[in-house]
Formats: sequence, C-alpha cells, structure tokens
Amino acid sequence: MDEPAFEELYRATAAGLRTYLYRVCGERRVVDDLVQEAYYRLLRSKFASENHEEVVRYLFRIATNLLKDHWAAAKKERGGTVKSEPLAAGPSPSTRLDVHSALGALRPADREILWLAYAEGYSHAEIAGIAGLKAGSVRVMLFRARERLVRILRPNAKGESR
Amino acid sequence: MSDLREHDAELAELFAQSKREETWQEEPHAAAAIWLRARADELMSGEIQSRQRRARPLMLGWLIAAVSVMAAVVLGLFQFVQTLPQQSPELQEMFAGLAFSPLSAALLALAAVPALGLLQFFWKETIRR
Repeated sequence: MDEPAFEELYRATAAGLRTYLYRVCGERRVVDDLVQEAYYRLLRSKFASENHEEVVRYLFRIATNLLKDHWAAAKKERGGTVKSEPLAAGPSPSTRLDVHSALGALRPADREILWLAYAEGYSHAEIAGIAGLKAGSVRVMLFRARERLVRILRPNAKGESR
Repeated sequence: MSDLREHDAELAELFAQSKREETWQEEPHAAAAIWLRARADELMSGEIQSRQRRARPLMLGWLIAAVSVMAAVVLGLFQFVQTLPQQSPELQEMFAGLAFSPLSAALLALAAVPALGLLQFFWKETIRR
C-alpha cells in the first residue's frame, strides 16, 4: 500500500473505527491510541488485498485484538477484573445517547458484536473473523446480546424474549 | 411470541443514526504521521536485518574458532591426564587410593571444559548485565 492509498483508507475508515472502539470501550484516550496502533500494525503487516472491504475487516480485527490486549493488560495491572468505563453521555438527548447508554449497560463482548452487526452491517462469518470467534457462537451471542439490548431500550415491552 | 428479528431493522437504524451522530476531530496529519512511523520502523528493521545477515559469516567464524579451541583444550587435557600417572608413580598410587582411574579423570576433564565455557557464557550474559 502506498502513501496516498493509505491516506485514502484512513480518511474513509478512521471515524468508523474510532466510533466502534469508543462504543465498545468508552475511553476516548484509549481509542486514540488504539486507532493509531491499528493503522500502524496494518501497515507493518503488509496485508495485501485489492478488496477494500477485506482490508477494512482486517483493520477492525487488528483493532479488536488491540482492545482485548488493552483489557488484559489493565486487568493484570489492577490485579482483578477490569470493568470498562461507563460510556459517557453526550451533550444532547439523542439516539446517540440512547444507544450509547444502552450499550454501556452491556458486556463489552456484547457491545462489540452488536456494533459490528448493526452499525457496520457485518455478517456472522465476518464478525467471527473480526472477533476471533466461531460463526455459530456469534449467532448465539448476537441473539442473546440483541435480547438484552432490546430489554434495556424497551424496558416495558412484554413477550420479547421468547 | 414475538421474534427478536422484528427489531433488526429498528436496531440497524438506531445504530446507523448513532454512528452518524458521532463526530471526531481528526488531526490533519494523523495519517501521514502513522505512515512515517511505519516507514521509519520498516527501514530500521530492514537495516537491522541486513546487518545481522552481514554479520552471520563472522559469527559462524567465531563459533567455529571457539569450538576448535575448546576441542583442542579438551584433547590436550585428555592426553595430559592419561599420561600423568605413567610419569609419576605417586600420582598413580593416589589414583589407586581414590579408586579413581585416569580414564575417569580424563572423562571429567572432557566434560569440565565445555561446562566451564557454558558457565562463563551464562555469567557474561546474565549476571554481568
């Protein structure tokens, strides 16, 4: 990948990658570091593909792995379980706030697959590739995460979970 | 019974809207900075690898020389220990008293030289640092 192609890729994907990482981990400072590191590792990996979507998926995979490494390091440092920061509320009561705070009540793994499925539109197989899971597991995890999210977004809804 | 898939379109729309509403202030030269960092690291690791490749024959030469010296010392010691009792009857008596044959002493010398070499290497690599 040459420099103009990389800059083009960065322009097209950086905001989406940032939002994904922010929705999953909720720490802006961490997001900045992870985004830089993800692009850096993409360049160093020499991953070559003509398919733009494939490159983006690979980038998301790198970022997801970096996030998991970050959590593992933080957990080790604190010597226990690491609780990701509550997702901070935005300035206006909007859809962003609804989704953001609803995601904040879920486990990071749920946030990750929900975002990849609904915001990025990835298939189960693609999510499995990004998150390092089996496609069958993604199907089940996504079903449960979606169930939990719907329960948070629509607390009064009846009969939505089977 | 309501299928959760009913919510799929609604959720997709909520997430898409949430994604659209999120704005980030990008540093103007962020991509260029990452590119430069990756390129610099690539050049540096290329240079390190090339230096290592260039130094490989020299390292091999040192290794062969070290092994040759060690073999010479071992053989020399082996011969010295083997001939020692013949030159001195007292030593022969001492070996007999200790129930320690000259061959055992030679074998001990054979093992001792590489062991001392290794110990010195580990000492240099770990304790000194």
